[in-house]
Amino acid sequence: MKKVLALVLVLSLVLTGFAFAEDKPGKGITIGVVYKQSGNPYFQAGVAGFQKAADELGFTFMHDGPDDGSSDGQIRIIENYIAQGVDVLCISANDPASLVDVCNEAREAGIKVVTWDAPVDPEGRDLDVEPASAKVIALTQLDSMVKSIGGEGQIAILSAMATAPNQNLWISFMEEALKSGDPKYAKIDFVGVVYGDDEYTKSFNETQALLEKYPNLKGIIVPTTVGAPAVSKCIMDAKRNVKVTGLTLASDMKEFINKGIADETFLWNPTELGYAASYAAVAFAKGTLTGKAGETFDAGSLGKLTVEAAADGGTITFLNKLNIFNNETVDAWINIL
Amino acid sequence: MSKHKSIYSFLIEHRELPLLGVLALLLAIVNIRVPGYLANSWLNVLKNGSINMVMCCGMLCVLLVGSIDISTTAVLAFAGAVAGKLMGLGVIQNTLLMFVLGIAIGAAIGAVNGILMSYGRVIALIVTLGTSYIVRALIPMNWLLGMNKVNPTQLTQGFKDSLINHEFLGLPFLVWLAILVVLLTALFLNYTRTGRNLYAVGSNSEAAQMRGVHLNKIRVLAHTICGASAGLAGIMWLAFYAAIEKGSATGDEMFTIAACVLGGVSVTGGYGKITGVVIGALMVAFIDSAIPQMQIGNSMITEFIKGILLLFAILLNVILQRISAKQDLAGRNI
Repeated sequence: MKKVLALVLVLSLVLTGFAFAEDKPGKGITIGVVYKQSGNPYFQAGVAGFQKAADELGFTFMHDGPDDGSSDGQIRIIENYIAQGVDVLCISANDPASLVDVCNEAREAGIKVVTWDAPVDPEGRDLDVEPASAKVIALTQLDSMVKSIGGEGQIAILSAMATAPNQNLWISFMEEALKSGDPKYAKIDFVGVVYGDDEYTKSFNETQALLEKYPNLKGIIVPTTVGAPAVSKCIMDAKRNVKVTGLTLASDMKEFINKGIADETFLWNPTELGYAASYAAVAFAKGTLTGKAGETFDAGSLGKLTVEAAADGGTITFLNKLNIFNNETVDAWINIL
Repeated sequence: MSKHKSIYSFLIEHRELPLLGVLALLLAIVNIRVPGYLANSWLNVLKNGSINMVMCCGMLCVLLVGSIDISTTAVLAFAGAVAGKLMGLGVIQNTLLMFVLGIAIGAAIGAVNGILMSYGRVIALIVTLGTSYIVRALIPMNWLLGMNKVNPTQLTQGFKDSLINHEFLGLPFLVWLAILVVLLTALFLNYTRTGRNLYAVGSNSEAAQMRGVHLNKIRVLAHTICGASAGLAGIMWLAFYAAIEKGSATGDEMFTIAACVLGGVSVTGGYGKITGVVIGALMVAFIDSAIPQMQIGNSMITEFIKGILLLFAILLNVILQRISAKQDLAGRNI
């Protein structure tokens, strides 16, 4: 009798085990997450998305980024992950070209490479997951600035590093639009791009220089989260009537939005981005996704996402969600972003 | 002959004077390239340089005893973040208390550095590298008062206004605070027995010991002062920029050391004057402010230029000092 009971107990345990395995499609899959810079709140929010997906799918993940925002720091982290035998890498690249070799090393070892937030060049990745198309992101910021300054005056851009792929792509779309002859940009005088290197003081100093060099400057577009509060604080101290817009965290900008230095700023939700990248990674690991244009995959609460051909020759998936922070909406976001 | 001798010996006495010449030369060059630079930017140079100036005073004390501290900017970020988080949680609302807390946190970390370095006999470079990693890593941790960084909404308006929007004789309190710290350091180093002992320990520790100076105590004191200055700098940073996070001021400790060395402070200890350090810190602040205005190109080129300017300044300074030293020897027929 005892034996039978023991057998039943063991069987039920095994069965529950199977049941769990069925419930959690990601069980046994390990994902190595690499982001641009450790301690950067934006990527901490991204990691929260991986955590949310891990709770739902049951995969395990590790996450790390270099202290200094360098590509070589990322290469060391990726090599470490390869040695530990992860199944999928989810990378936000500091430089699109320099990670190609190490990513291919990973792929030769059977590891799938999903990039999120900032892509690796197409020959080094299986799929890129991005919030919205670069053109939409670029023109949203430019049009917001044009609206803020009443369609007329000098504007400048303060970017991150001069090599940052996202920022450079956005800036090229903005420059293209300004040169297109579209009448809504006719009275906009674009004075140029400066680089704050995603360092607070450097961004601050570059803004001071802009303000001094262009006494009639009307606006600064800041397509990087670290730069935006530095630029806004500098303008506030200088007591100048210069408008800011760009991609920012809500918590960083609440004060400046309330004070009217920025009318509105934008950002996708990095948590959703990490969440979507996780679902793509698990689909890759299970073989239900191969990264060809036209495929679809289930992304949990974000619904079904579609793989498209990307402008750089690889494939890409867009979430197509951009949040607006202004006087009305910013308070609802400060605890999230 | 005697007149020459007196000029050269004057230069020997005041090793920081050639640096003043270098600074004037650089200012002239920039002013030609960017007309009106000095008239527009002098206040920004002073404001942006204040925080580094305060840390330079602490660094001077550490360098004088023949030690070094590379944890200063990590202490800056840590003290600023802890105080800022406490303000965000509503624990502290008083501006003065913020400064006291910042100095206390900095002094405590500095004291640990000093004890490990002197009583523990670990070289200061490694001790302070270790503490800098530890305190920086603590900043975004959740168990340490929650928030992973401090942003403007967490600070009181009074605190944010304290250093920037209050002025005296046309200078914001931020600059006055730096001037105050410089004056206190000058008085301490030149007119107190303990201050003179810093020089004694650094230039000849055995002789100092024979005279009854407690070497380890002086070294711990120097590190404590340095930590306190970095903690104060952290609160100044928070009041100036209204934001602080894990990466704040990363790498800037090297510019603190560079400013001291530019100002003629010996890295082997025993020699260094506050006047030289002030000029060195002004030079670093000026280079930081001038390069973006010169619109030379992107960030990689500006860093290149920054490196060249630093090397140029220090080489010119060294050459001028060497010439005056040689003339001094010749003057004494050696």
